[in-house]
Amino acid sequence: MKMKSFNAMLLVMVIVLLTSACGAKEYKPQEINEETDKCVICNMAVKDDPYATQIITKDGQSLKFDDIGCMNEWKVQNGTETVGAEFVRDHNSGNWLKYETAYYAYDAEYVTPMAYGVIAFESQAAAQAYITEQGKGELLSSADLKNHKWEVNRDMMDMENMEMHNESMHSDDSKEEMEMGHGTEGKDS
Amino acid sequence: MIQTAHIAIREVKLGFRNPWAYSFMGLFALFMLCLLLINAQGYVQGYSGITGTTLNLILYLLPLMSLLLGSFSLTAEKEDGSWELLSVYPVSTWSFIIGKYVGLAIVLLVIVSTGFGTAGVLGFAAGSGFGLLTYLQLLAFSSSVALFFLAIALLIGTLAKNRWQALTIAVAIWFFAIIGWPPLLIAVLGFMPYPMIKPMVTLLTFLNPAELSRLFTVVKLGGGAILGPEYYEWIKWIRQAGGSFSFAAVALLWIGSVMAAAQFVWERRRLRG
Amino acid sequence: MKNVQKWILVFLLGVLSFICLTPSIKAEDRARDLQSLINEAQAGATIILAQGIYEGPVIIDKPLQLEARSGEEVTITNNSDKPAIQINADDVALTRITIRDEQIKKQPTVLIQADGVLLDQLQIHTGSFGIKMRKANHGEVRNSSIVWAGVVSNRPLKLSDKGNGMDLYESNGNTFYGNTVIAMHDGIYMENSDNNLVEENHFERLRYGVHCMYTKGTIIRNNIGRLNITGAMVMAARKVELSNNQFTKQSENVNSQGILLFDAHEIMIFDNHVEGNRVGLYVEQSTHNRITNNSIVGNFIGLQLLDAENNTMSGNQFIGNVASATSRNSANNTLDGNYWDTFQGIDLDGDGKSEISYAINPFFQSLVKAKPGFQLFFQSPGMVFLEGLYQSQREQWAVDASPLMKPTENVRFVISKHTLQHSATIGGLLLCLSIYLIYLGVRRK
Repeated sequence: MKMKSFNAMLLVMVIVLLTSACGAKEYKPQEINEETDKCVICNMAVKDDPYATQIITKDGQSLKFDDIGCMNEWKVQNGTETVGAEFVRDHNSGNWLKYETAYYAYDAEYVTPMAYGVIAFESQAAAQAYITEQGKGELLSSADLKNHKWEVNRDMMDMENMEMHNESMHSDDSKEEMEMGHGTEGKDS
Repeated sequence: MIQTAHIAIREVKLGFRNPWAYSFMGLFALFMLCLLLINAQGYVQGYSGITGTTLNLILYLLPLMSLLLGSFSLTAEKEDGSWELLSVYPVSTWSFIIGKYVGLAIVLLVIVSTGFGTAGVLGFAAGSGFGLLTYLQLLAFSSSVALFFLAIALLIGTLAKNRWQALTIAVAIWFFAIIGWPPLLIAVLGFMPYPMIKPMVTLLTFLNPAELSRLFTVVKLGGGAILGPEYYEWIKWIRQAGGSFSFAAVALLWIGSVMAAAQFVWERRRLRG
Repeated sequence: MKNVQKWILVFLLGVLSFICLTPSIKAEDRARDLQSLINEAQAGATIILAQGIYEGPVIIDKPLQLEARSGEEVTITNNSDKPAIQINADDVALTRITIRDEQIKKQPTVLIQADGVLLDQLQIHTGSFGIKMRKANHGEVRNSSIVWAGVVSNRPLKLSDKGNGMDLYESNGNTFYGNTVIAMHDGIYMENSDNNLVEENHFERLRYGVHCMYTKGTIIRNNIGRLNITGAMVMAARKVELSNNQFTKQSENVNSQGILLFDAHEIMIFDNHVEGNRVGLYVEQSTHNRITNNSIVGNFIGLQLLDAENNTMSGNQFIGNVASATSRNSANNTLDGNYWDTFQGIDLDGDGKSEISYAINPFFQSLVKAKPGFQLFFQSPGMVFLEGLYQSQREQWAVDASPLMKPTENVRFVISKHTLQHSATIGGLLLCLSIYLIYLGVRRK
C-alpha cells in the first residue's frame, strides 16, 4: 500500500513538473458556482450576476468576490504580488473582462451587493451609456480606480457622529443627514 | 467452493476459541456503551459531537483489531505448521485465502454486532441511543472498516514470517493510516502547487480505506458541508443512492486487489516450497 | 361627519359588491377592475372587497384600506411586469388578500414607497420580490406569508432569479411580526434601514433568513429559521439586538451557519438557540459585541472566531458540537464562563468554574485558510492528534479564562426526535445472531 501511494505520488510529481515547464501560464476565470462560492472578503454568497469578480492567484487558486469593492479590499489586505490575473464582468453581457481593460461607472447610489457602487463595462461607450441612462455617476478607468476612495454607500463609522442627532430627530431628518453626509464625502474624493 | 467453505468454518471455529476475539469483543462493546452513556443528548442522529467521537473511536479500535486478528491467524498457520499440512491436500491458494477471509470476516462482524447490539439494547434501557438511520450508518461504517483492514491483515500475515513481525507491520500500518495520515499528507503535499492539492488528496484518500470510509460516512450522516466547497461535487454524488453502490464497488475492488496480492505471494511460495 | 360619510360609502360598496357577486358566481374567474374601484374611492375610505379574483397591476395613491371579509377568498393576480400592488400614499392598509404574481421579473409583487403602510394577513405568491420598501417608514407587515412561486422553463432556477421576501432600502422604524417566508432569496433584507423590528417570523429554505447590511438599531427577536443557508446574516451593522431566536439545520450548504456576524459592532446576541448547523455562530472582523446565554448545540462547528476583537462571550453553552470552537487571530476577546462540553476543566475552589482555561486551537483554521483542500481532514483522528501536538504561541489563541464546569440548565434539543426502539430492536437481533454464531463456533462436533 505504501508502495502504491508512493508510485502514484511520483507520477503526479512528474506530471506537475512537465506541465509547469511548458511555457508561461495563461489565467482563465472560473465560472461562478452559486451553490458553493462565497466572497473571500465579506462571506456573502457570490451570485452568478455581473457584479461578481475574481482573482486568479499565480498558483492557480481562484478567489471570488461579490463586489469589485471586496476585490479591492482583498488587494489592500494581501497585496498584489500573488495575483496572477483579475477579472470583472461586463454589466450588460456578464462576460468576463480583464480588470485592467474594463471601463467603470461609479456613483454612491448605484446598487451593488456590498454598496461600493462601482460597475464594470466592456467598452467606454457602454459605461457612458449607463451613466447617461441613470442620470448620475462618473466614468473611471482601471487606472482611476487606483485613486478611488472605495467608500461604501453608507459608511458605518460615520454613524457614531449621527447618533446624537438621531435621538431627538425624526428619522426622516436623519435620512437627509445621511445623504448630506455623502455629498461631502464625494467632494473629499 | 466446498473447500473454501470448510476453511471458512474452520476459521470461525478457531476464531471463537481464541481468547483474543473475546477480549476485543468486550473492549468494543464497552467503548460503544460508554460513548452512549457520557452523552447527555439522549438521542443521537446525524453528524454531531457524539457521532464524530464514535467515528474516531471506531477508527482507533477496529482497524487495529482486524489487523491483529487477521495477520495472527495467518502467521499461526505458518508457525504451527498447519499450512504445510494443508498444502499436501489439493486446496487451491484462492480457496485458502478466501476461506480465511470469510471465516475471519464472520468473527469480526460478530464482534462488531455484539458491540452495536449491546449499545442498542442497553442504550435503549438507559434512555440514550442512536436514531435508526444513524445506527445503521455507523454499523455499516464499522463493518466496512473491519472488512477493509482484514484484507490488509491477510497481506501482512502473508508477508510476515512470524507473529512478532506481523505485529510490528500491523501497528505501523495502523499508525500510518489512522494517525499519521493528515500530518504526512500535509507535509508532502504542502510543497505542491495549489491546483495539485485537491486532486492529490482525493486520489490518496482512495488509497486509505480508513479515510475513505470515514468521509463516506460523514457525508452520509449529513455532514458533507463541513468538508468544504472544494469537494462539493463529490459530496453531492456520494449523497445519492448511487454513491453507496459506488462505495461498495470501490470496497470490493480494493479488498479484491489486496487479496489478489496476498494470493500471488502465497502461490509463489507454494510453488517454491 | 366624515366618519358617517365613510360608513355610508362602505355600506354602499358592500351592497354594490354583493350585487356584483350574486350574478357572477358562475364566472368566478372573470377579472374585476380593481383599479377603477380604487380610483373611485375617496381618500381614507375602506373598501371591502367581495370574494373573487381581481386583476392587477394596481396603484394605490391615496390613503385607503382594502380588505377582504374574514373567511372569504380575495385574490389579486398579476401577469404584467409591473408590481401587482404599488403603494404610493401614506397610511394604506391591505388585509386578508391573496396575491398571485408568479411571473419572473424585476419589479416586486408589492412596492411600498410611503409611510405608515399596514399589510395584514396577506398571502403572497411571487416570482420576484415579495414586498419591496423604498423610503417607507413606520409601516407594519404582520401575519402574512410570502412564498416563492416562480417557474423558469428551459434552464435550472438560479439563486439570482429569486427576489427577497421583504426588501428594505432607506426604510426605518418598520415592524415585521408573525410572518412566514419560504423558499425566497433572503427572508428579510435591510439595507440602510434603521430601527426595524423583526419579531416572531418564520424563515425557511431561504438564502439568508434575516440579512442586515449597513443598518443599526435592528431588533431581531423570537424568530425561527430552519434549512436556510444562513439564519441571521448581520453585516456592516451596529447596535443590533438578536435575541431568543431559534436557528436549526442550516447545514446543507458548504457556507452555512446559524448566525453570522461580519463587520458587525455593538451587537447584543442573547438567549438564542442554534442547533444542527454547519457553523453555529460565526464571528469575523467584528468588535464590541456581547454574546451571552446562547445554546449552541449539535453543530459541526460551534463557534468560529476570525479576526474578531473586543467581544464579550459568557454564559453560552456549547454542547454536542463536532468541534466546539475554531479560531484564528482572535486573541483579544473576553471569553469567560461559557460551557464547552469537549473541555474537561478542574474546579479547585468550588465556584463552579474551572481554574484551567480553555484555549481554542487555531491550527486547523490556519491550515485550511492557506490550503482549503485539507478541509477534508476536519476532525479526523489524525488531525485531532496533530492539533493536540500544536501548542505554539498559545498567548495568541482565543481563550475562555474560566469555563463553566456544568451546563447551566438542562439543554433542550429542538430538532425532532424519533424513538430509540427501532435501533434497540435491530441491536437485539444483532446480539441474538452473534450469540448464535458464537454458539455454532464453539460447539464441539
